[in-house]
Amino acid sequence: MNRFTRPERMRIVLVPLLLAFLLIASGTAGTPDAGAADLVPAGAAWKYLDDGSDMGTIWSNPAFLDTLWASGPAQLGYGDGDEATTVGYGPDPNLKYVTTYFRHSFTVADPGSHPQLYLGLLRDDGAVIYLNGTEVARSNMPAGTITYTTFASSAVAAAEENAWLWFTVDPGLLATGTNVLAVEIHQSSPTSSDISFDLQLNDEPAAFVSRGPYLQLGTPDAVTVRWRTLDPTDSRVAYGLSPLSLNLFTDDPVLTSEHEVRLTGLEPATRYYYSIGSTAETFAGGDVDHFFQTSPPAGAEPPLRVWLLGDSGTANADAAAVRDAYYAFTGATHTDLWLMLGDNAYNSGTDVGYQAAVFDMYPEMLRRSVLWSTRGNHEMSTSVYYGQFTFPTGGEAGGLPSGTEAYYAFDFANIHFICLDSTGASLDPGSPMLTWLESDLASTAQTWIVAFWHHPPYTKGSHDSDSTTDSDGRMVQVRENVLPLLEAGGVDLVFSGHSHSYERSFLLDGHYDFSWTLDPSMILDGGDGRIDGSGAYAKTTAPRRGAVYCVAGSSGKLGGGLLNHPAMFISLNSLGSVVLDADATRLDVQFLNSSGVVSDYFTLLTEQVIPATVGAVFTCIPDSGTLPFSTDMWVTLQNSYSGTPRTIAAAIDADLASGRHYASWRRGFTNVAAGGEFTTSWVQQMPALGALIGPNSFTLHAEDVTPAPYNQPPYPPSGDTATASCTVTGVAP
Amino acid sequence: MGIAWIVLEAPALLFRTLAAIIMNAAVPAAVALFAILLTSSTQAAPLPAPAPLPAPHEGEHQQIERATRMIAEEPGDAALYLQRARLYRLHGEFDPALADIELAARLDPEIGDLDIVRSELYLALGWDRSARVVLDRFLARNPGNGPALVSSARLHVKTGDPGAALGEYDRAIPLLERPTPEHYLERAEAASALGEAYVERAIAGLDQGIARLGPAVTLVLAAMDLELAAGRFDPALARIRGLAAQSQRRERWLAREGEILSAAGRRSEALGVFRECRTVIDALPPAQRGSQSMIDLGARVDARIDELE
Repeated sequence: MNRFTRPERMRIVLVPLLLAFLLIASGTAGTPDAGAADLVPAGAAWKYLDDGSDMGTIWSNPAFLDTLWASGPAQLGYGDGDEATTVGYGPDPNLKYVTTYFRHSFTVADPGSHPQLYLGLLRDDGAVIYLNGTEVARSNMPAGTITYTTFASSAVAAAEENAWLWFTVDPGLLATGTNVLAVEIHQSSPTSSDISFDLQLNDEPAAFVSRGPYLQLGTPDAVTVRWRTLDPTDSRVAYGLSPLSLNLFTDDPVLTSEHEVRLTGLEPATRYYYSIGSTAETFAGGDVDHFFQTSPPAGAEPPLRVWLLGDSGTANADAAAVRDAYYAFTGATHTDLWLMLGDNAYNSGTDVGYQAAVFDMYPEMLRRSVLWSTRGNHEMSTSVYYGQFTFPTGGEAGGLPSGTEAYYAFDFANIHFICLDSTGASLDPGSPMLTWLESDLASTAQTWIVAFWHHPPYTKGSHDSDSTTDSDGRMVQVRENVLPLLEAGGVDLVFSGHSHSYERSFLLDGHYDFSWTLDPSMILDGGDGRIDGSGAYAKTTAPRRGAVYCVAGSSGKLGGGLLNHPAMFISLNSLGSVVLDADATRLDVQFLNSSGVVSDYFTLLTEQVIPATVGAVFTCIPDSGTLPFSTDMWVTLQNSYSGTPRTIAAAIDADLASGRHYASWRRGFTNVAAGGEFTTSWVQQMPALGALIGPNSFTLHAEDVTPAPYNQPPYPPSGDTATASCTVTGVAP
Repeated sequence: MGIAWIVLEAPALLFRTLAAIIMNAAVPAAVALFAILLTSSTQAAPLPAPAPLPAPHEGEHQQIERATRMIAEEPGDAALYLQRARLYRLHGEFDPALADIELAARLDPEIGDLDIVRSELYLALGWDRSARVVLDRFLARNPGNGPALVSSARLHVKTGDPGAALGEYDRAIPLLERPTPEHYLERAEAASALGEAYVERAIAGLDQGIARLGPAVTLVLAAMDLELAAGRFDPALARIRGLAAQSQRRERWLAREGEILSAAGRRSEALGVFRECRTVIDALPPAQRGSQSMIDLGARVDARIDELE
């Protein structure tokens, strides 16, 4: 097979092109021979007949006179609103014409210069295509004779309406001079709301790669490159540190249309350029647009960017607007990885749907950034979903081995990502997924833990997490059975989709029941989480440090709803996606709407402990009632630091003469300047005098708890201490 | 089809189907209610009460609506009815699901997934004997269908026949394109339910899963539990140490190792491992050391140290 790159092809067909140009210039009708690229481009003008008449078979003959037919550019059809030319369906919307005919002529100067042909078809519902009177392709139509009353085999809906289907065509059918493509589009029923049609005929090798390349299972030293071709070939990925020097390659000799090549032995945090192809030729890449970046080592703390899409699978203008808004937002900033939160391809996650909603929607992102996904309820075909993705099963990317691609974990720098399957896996306590989850949480050493799955624990959008029947009760199960494990394990952020809205919680902990049971004590920080607002949410060392929950299911459609879940700080019926930026000490989350406006943002700050020394002087001032102690305390930060001023928590810890132990936290110091020494004093109300008569010993603790804690640090404190003693004399009242 | 099924379940099925068809035809609510009452009053055997129709919610409801529109466009497509039947079942709307299945069967009695969809619905309804009949019929025609064999095995488990389930799992798992840990765990449970004589087989089955899927935590832990139940402490220790070796943090596995050693009566070794575990916990960064799960683990470890000292 001959799959030259475009420049090579241009040179080869230069002479025929010149000849074609001369023919065109002399008045030949139809599309001129474009030579290397498109014999018939998408969006070309077509003659069409939309009067419901029976054209028999003569209409597909190249000699048929279609001069009285109407004409217009593709996409042709009706009912979707995306047509360039609207065709008719007759006077009765409940009795639409079954068949609409289309013809297009084009000129070929030298058929020999087109050694292979690839036909791309966009159709709703069914189609039969003829080239110069010979049937060359049939799609979604029954076998056997087709008449003008033959219905398409099935209705086409959602993302599949915008999918390009590819066929190989015998190039021997091309004739020198004028050629005619004839297409009949068939409705699936008289009441079907729409038809769609567009077609392209190419001999370009680019069309030979019908999917991808796309990147999977990235680690610090490996990545998987996948793509699909129209015909089986062996596989080669060539790669290197420069697009001009792809000096390394990995081959797979197996002939296949579904190519999957694992590159290993890579350097961490390194950009590699690559191309895909066979051992005989290159199909795509080898330029600045085809690259991947390996993950940083686990635990590293470089700035990184993550893009999250939920329920994006509409393959329509809304999804494109969300995509374009992000592309404009991120600009030259590389997206290190992206997450899909399920329902990636409506309506049922078919292969055709995925082609339109994922592979044709995000080709740039797919070839540069590793995609990770969780399965939504619309991913009904597990064979399609798991067949096209490569996720870790054996802990290849940093998590514990799960043995399944349905749920898995991976590390990227200092973030541990956990993907759960809320659609297909059991959510019962003790179920395999939850057993794995609990073990995985206890095994990660990363600073941040980000979990994602499809069904949200809290939502009042197009779904209601208070309903025990909505989504088979899976939102309730997630909340009751998954969240306790995650929060005990220290999860920081949770992302879900399912509801077609954006809903973002406060910093929460321990809210596992219906929304009306939300107690103020479960809201660890009821602020906006914004540094320029009420302050960032703090990831402290407290046992119950809380998490923020985001529903981000509006990347392809909106669903409305009450949007009034009390756990949410903000709820928006707005198309958009989520951007997660991270570095050593903070996670920044932004909701970017489809107009490119950031509609919500918040920050999680991790505790950065600055060692401090502490000293104290106690003065016992007993009196007859309570027994105040005057305490002077000073703290010195030992290291310089940058960023926000520190907050120091102080505690008094007393072993009293009576044998009682007494401890109390204070937040004595805030906004402490870098490297400074500072003092504070307080009067501590102690227990009744009777408990203090005799020798008492006191310990003062100081601990850096920046950012300000929402509650007490863990006890005993881990910071520096100073001790003092005080003997109380007197007689107990 | 057995006599028992005809006597016990066929009348109910017939009436429920009729009721569902009537309801689908959008007759007045009173007629539909009468049909349901008629159904319940003619049941020869106790049947689960009809599931209450849940309030519609957008996701599944939209899917059902879309399927309905597609059926309206192509009323002769049996596959569409099966698709909608599945959606109805997932939605807990069993009566319309039944109706769709029967319509699909009428349109195309040979359609591929008919008996699978039917059996799924019967299982959801708790009609185990009917599900068995349908599954057996399907498997007679499709003996190499892995997912159907898994369904059959699960039904055997549900009806208290782990021996038959074990055989079905053994047949099914090699046929599955993408077996999951769940399949191996279910088979091990079926084997274990047969008694001590089958523990070896259960462990061997889990090891097959580990060989095929990799050292999935769930499989390793299940095998370890079976080893412990059989008093095989050293193999259990080897498994838990393997888990520790592939984890970034060891404390959870050290605690389990201490428990195993303790159960084996190796008190001093257990004490040493628990102490090591405490040391490892104390050395964790504050954020990890302070998590609730680590505090709980630490408390358990401390208690075990106190017991053993």
